[in-house]
Amino acid sequence: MKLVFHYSVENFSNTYVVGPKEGGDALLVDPGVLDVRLLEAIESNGFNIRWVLITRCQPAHVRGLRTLKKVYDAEIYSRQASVLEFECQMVKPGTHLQLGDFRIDCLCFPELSHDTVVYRYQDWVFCGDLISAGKPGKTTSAYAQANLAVALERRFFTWQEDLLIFPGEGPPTTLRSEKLFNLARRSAGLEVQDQKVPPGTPEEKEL
Amino acid sequence: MFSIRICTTAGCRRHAVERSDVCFGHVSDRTAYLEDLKSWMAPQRDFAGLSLGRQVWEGMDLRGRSFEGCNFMGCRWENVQLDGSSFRHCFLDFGVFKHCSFQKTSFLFCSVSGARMESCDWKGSDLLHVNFNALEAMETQFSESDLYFTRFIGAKLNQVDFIDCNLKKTQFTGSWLQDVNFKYSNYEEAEFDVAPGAPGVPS
Repeated sequence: MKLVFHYSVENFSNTYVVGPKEGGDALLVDPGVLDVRLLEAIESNGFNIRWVLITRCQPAHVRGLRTLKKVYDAEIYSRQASVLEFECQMVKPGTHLQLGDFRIDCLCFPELSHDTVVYRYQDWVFCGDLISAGKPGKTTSAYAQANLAVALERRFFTWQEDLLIFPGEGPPTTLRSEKLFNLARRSAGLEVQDQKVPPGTPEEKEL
Repeated sequence: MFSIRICTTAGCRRHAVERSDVCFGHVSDRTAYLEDLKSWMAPQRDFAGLSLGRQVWEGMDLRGRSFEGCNFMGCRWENVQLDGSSFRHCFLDFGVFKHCSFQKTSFLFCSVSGARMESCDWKGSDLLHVNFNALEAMETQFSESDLYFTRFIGAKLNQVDFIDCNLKKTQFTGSWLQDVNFKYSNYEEAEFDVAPGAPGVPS
């Protein structure tokens, strides 16, 4: 599978397109914008956007939807019944979607917002605003932030460490890095700094 | 983008390396494997989807190479020349970098978190959307680089130069800065919230 990353300078947000290497039906995560550069990237890879996954129904994640729908006849998946003027397939927490060859696991995090969904495809996690590299998502109060930290601990950091995390904003990361260095865990005193070099690295024993 | 394959050795959870079913630790003859890999890579310029985690890159000349969606997690890089190379969507987390030259490289949307870096030179590079969280860097040069939207959250930086850099949206939250030089850089546009007791923010 091929992953295309696009950064929107208007929204400071990331859009991802996942499709077969040889081209074909593809899925797009968070159409924050559909500009010429993204369109060129989609077309040059021979992708046809069949599915749109929305991690959060905020303008930064959906602003490009109108343009996208003019170009591609894509089904939209989100936590809400409609986004902008488009009907969506509602995602239920803890379920999976079978979109062609893509099996997508869906996890909802109402602790961040009622419409937050995290999508996992194989080893890739599209987590939207839930976390960004080194930081937890932003909530409206300290109480909500504490709730989110607990939810992350119970339902996110329990996943296998090999996962690659593609946030809605900022650079990519890995689940292992976030478990060790995310400020949400640091503030709760849960990070393990002395395990920074994971077991089995060359430095530790192999050389 | 690389796909994660787990080593076929019973009980091992590490990533299998390129052209093998086992991780680097379980390759029967590592020296031969590395030689074979080097000779395979030597004539090529562009690489995509390689999985080469936990390997040792020593004294290699990888100047001008292009890597897309590659896995270099946990690698040790020593005296490696990477000037003018390009990395897109690559993961180099938990790497150890010593005396490496990355001059005028282009890193876009990469992760280098939890790495250790000593005497490395990134002068004149484009490091956009790069995750350097928890980096431990010593005597390292980032001068004349574009670090837009790059993160050094929780990093420990000692004798590191950011002279004449673009630091717009660069984040140093919770980092520890000792003898870090931000001269001629737009550090007002960066985000600082240094760790308690840390030596200081730019003056």
